[in-house]
Amino acid sequence: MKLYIKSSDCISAQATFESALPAELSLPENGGLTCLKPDYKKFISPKLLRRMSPIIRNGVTCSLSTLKQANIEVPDAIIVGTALGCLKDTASFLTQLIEENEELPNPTHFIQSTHNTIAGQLALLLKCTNYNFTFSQMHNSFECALLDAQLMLLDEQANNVLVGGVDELPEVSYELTKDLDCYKEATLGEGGSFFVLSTEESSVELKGVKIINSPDCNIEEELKHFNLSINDVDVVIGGDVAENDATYSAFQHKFEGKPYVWYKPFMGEFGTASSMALWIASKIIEEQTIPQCWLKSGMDFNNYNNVVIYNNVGGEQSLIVLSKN
Amino acid sequence: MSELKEELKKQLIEQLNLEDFEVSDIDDNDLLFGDNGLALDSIDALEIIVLLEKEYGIKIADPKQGKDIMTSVQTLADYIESKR
Amino acid sequence: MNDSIVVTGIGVVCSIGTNVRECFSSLKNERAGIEPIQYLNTVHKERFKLGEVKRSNEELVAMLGLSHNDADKYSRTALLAMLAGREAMQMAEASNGAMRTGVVSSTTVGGMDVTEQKYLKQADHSYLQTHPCGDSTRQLAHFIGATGYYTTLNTACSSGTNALIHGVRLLRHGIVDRVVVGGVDALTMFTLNGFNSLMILDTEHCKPFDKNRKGLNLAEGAGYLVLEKEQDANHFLCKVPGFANANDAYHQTASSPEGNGAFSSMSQALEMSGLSTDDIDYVNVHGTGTNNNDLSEGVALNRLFGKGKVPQFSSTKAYTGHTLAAAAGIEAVFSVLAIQNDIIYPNLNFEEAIEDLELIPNTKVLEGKGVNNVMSNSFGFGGNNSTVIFSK
Repeated sequence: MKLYIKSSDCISAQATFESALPAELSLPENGGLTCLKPDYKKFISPKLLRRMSPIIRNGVTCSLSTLKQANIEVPDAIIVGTALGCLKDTASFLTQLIEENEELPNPTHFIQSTHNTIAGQLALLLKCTNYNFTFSQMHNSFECALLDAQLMLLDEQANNVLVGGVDELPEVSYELTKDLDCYKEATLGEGGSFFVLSTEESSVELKGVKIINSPDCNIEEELKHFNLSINDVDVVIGGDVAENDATYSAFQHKFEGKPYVWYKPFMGEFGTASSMALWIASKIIEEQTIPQCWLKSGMDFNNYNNVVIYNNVGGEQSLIVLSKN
Repeated sequence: MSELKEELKKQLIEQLNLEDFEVSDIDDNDLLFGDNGLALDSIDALEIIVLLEKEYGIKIADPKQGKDIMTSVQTLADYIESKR
Repeated sequence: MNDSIVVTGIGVVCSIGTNVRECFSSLKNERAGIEPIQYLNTVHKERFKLGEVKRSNEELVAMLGLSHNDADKYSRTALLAMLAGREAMQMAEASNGAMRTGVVSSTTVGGMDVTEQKYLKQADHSYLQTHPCGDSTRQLAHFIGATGYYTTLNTACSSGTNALIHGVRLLRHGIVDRVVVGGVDALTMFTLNGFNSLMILDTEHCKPFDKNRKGLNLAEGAGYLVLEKEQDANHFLCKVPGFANANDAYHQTASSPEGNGAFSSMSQALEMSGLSTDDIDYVNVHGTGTNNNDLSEGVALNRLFGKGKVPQFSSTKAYTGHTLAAAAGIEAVFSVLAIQNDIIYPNLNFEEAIEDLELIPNTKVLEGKGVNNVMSNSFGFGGNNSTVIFSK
């Protein structure tokens, strides 16, 4: 059985929402990369919006737009990946507890702090009583959600699954995490990308996702699982956070001469950043062109069949492969 | 009393993030809960209980007991006055 | 895709014991673990009773055979996960040696126990390494030598069963040959104050399904099962014929008065299992002891089984307290033990039935009657409802 990406959307620090791949990128000033805010009120009533932190706003808005594009009112499943969940509410509640010595903290922060708030809010808004999962496995959170969606569709337990990844970077967590070893070279960011993964045909086929937790990754071997060789790959999307990111140099080397897309310098590094890469990949297949600003190396050649996405943060690695249908 | 009600309205707007409301939008007798009025929900009720304790030193141990007190800004103000 | 799935190992730690043997003995002897606060650092020490694991972090480190110097590398959450996960794996080890083992764990607050002690107090933020939910799972996977595939679910208090559901998918698609599934949560000041702010904590020992119930007792622990395909297993403890996840889509924290989500997760799990309502010998209910949960779950039980026809049921949370993401894992272990030993546990502290429901849980240790099929419920915030069925 083949699986397809029927629709997708992305909220990020770039003008990606309800848009094609932007032909221009704004480069970050100092600090982290925060999302451009869409008009949330187009999607969410003010009554609900008033309690929502950025991660919930972005996750819900992005999901609703994705569903709308696919003409789906209620998906057969909602599966969300988030590495750190609702950080802003978590930090607010915790700060209050510590500063006020556990006296009368506000319940709303606690309620909104649980990781599955995004998927839960979507269920409420859509009156969707179906399967509702939230994965949180650090830098593979989105990949695990995608794998679960894929397997569920292959098992014929669903026809259309809403799946996505989302994280937020409130100021407090920027200050806390910017110096952590695994982020030293990176510009931190936030955002969300959602997809309707479907058994119904579209122009973008999801070949699969592979999660690799061992330190080594033999790319040739891994591609065999997707019936591909290095030669078959038309474009690769790497998780490089900087020009000379040693983590990806061996990987990039394997694909020398092919267009190499990067995104983290403009969208930021975060736990579910690879969901951004999947959005970019599906746009490349749909549009068959890559604006120059996304290319770290290589040239746009307007003919893209197979796209490989590779992510590796601290040894938690993943490959996602898309093909043109 | 009217000062108290004004203050309560400000606190409600702030604490419940009623971004689209001004003090003048809330009448003393507007229902806080239910569809005709501010349409607040059970999460707001918990927040109002915290507000009463923090700002006015009034403890409500049983959320059910809070129902009658939290009908409107007027009933909230009456209750606070009665405890003063 | 319809390969029969079996349980080949179980492991547990909670307030009534640090391993399967201890917990089973407590269950049989009606010994609850809910007591005044001994370990958790909170200003509410005198106010609440909790289901703490009666071991300090140092003691847990020693039990795990870890170096004392490494103690800082682990959150309490990770330590509890490693203790229960190791026990489950040791029991399953008799099966097949060289298999690709995966881990699907779950937790609601991950390493919050560490974060809340250091946040705003320490300039060096390296303690945040243990904060993400995925950290305890990674530690568990490394500790038991399972580095093929591991992941973490966080769907609040239904998480453990959802971990099982994802784990079964991995087995059936051959992504792993064997998978450790379940959940863990350590007690934290964060969750204690959180649940307190929702006004759903009982300051006394909780009374699930009682008319005068006042709320839940928070607790900690971990519970894991090892799952394999029946065809790959040399021996097994019981089968897992049915499971389901559904959403109530009613309210962010409360359950619907009609128990819609609970009804659908139970009926879908039953349908998958091919069993009928008459086949269920025991229901290990979610039964937190809150006004809302027990009423909603009770309505759903009556809807599914018919009023007056609900099988023997009990909430073991009056023993253990509510361990959040660990609850489904721990109660899965208890369900497997019920089948292995033909035993039904009592619902401690029950006195009077909830009006209109006419539901009376089992109140004594019942032995000697065959327990062939057990249903276990786990429900969480966000309307998340899950049910799993275990069979002889």
